[in-house]
Amino acid sequence: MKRIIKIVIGTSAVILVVVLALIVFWPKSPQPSPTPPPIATDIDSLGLELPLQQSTLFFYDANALELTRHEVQLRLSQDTDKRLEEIVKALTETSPDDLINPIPKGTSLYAAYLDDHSTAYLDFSRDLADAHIVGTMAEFLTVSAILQTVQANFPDQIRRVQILIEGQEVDTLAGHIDISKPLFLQMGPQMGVE
Amino acid sequence: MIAYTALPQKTCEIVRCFDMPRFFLVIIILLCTCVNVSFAQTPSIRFINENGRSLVSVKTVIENGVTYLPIGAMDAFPDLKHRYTRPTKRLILTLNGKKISLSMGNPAVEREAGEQPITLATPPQVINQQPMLPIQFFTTVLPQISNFNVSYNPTLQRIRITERMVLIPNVTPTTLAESQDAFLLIIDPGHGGTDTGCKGKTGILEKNIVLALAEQIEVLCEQREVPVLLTRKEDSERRAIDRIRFANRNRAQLFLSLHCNASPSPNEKGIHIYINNSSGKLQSKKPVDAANGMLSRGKIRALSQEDFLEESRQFATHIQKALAPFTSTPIPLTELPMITLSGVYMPAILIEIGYLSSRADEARLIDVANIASIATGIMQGIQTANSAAEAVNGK
Repeated sequence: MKRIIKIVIGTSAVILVVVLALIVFWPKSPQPSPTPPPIATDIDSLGLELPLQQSTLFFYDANALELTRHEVQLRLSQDTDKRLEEIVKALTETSPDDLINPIPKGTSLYAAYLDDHSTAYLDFSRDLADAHIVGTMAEFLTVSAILQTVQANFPDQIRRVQILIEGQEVDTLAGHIDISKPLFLQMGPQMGVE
Repeated sequence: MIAYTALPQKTCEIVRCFDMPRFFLVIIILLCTCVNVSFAQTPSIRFINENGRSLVSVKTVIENGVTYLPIGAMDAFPDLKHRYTRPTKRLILTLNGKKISLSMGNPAVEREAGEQPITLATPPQVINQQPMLPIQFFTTVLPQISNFNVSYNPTLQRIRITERMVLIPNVTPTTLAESQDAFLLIIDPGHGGTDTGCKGKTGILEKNIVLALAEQIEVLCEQREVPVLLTRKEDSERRAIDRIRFANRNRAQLFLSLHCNASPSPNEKGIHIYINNSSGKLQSKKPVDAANGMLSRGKIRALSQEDFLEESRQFATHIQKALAPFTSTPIPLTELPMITLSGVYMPAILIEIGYLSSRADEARLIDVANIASIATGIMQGIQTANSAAEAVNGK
């Protein structure tokens, strides 16, 4: 009797293992015909040097007292998320002659990605807020430089930008301008100066 | 015995070779792995407050494309009590003495008599024997019954809860403005305490300059018998939310925030006036939504600072003109989404009285006589704007 129980349990266990193995290893869907692997869609993975492409970054012109375009040649990936990261990283790291970078020195870009609603998420290090010189104008220039750079390089793919600090949404960079929500890339009307 | 002999020879050998405890151990490990994999794939949503602090994290269930949250997620909302009766599948919520109830499987949200009923696009459901609420309940129903704005970010899997300053049914800006006859000014000297604001080359701090200016304006108000309140009277740190609460509690006719500016360029100088407008130069809201009132739902209307946009512009324009003689550069008037102004339910402006990054401006702001002149200009602008508004209203 004891032996029969052992046999029944053993058989059940074998069946269970077979069923589990089938669940785990059964192919999800039949492959009708082997498709050729994508060729060079991601040239990063092939270890080739990325091509140089013209990109537009925005910096502050201390003489004109406004943000100005600055064309640079960057090696850019084909993937949009990667390209976004490379361009915004270039914005944080570049300091052209005669122009001022409104992004505080030491700021790093941790991540850049797009969601399904054409909103770009740019996750910066805490330096973007902590090393900021404060003042509404300085804050405006920082945010605008980021937005205008994204707008110039991704006019069709990105509609809004959410600035994050260490993965978190923050109310402001230095206490004035509300960046808690994504900002639209289409800049508002220029207000009159009297 | 029959079953045993019916097994293929090789399988029988495997079974014989395995001793039972080891065999079961393998099975348990396999099962645990499967369970772990399934748990790891369960998405969760984190509730955060206005400062980004985590409040509650809950596991979600997605059914037919709808995200459901357990009722425990309501713990993120202060003062919101909830009681679920399992036999009747009924959930009762109590907030500020008001009750609403939901029945599982029924999209109708029952409210107290006389209140506008709310219908959810998808009903709450019992899933895996747990009452679950569609995410829409949190993002659209709770803001209507509480003083919280709730925004869901599916990319970050976060629900952000921010306290709304005012929620008054059927109150328009006009009725609120008329509720108090005497003009009351609230002056908000920016920063304070460890929050020093920007710093000049001489070491002078924004927080001290703006407090000195606020005190000057206060003196002028007292001389002219204009009621005035300051959000801070000493060098103390005050959170933005506390300043806003103070202003709303006192229902003033103008919220005047005082700051000093800073720019990466030492050449930038002068006075700059800002107004809160989320459809302004930087847009966090589509301009079309401003006109339609995105927050209007049913008979409850969430009030917005931008209800006073036109009045704020009037005050700003008059102050701009009054301050013109005190500065050599034009005074720009810029509309931006301003966090310091967005919560107050009254006309509000922010004046940056000069750039501490500019040596010329810093010298001007250190000069007490100059601060007094700026105070006079601001006061003059406020009074002119107020007189103009009174003339229009026929007071």
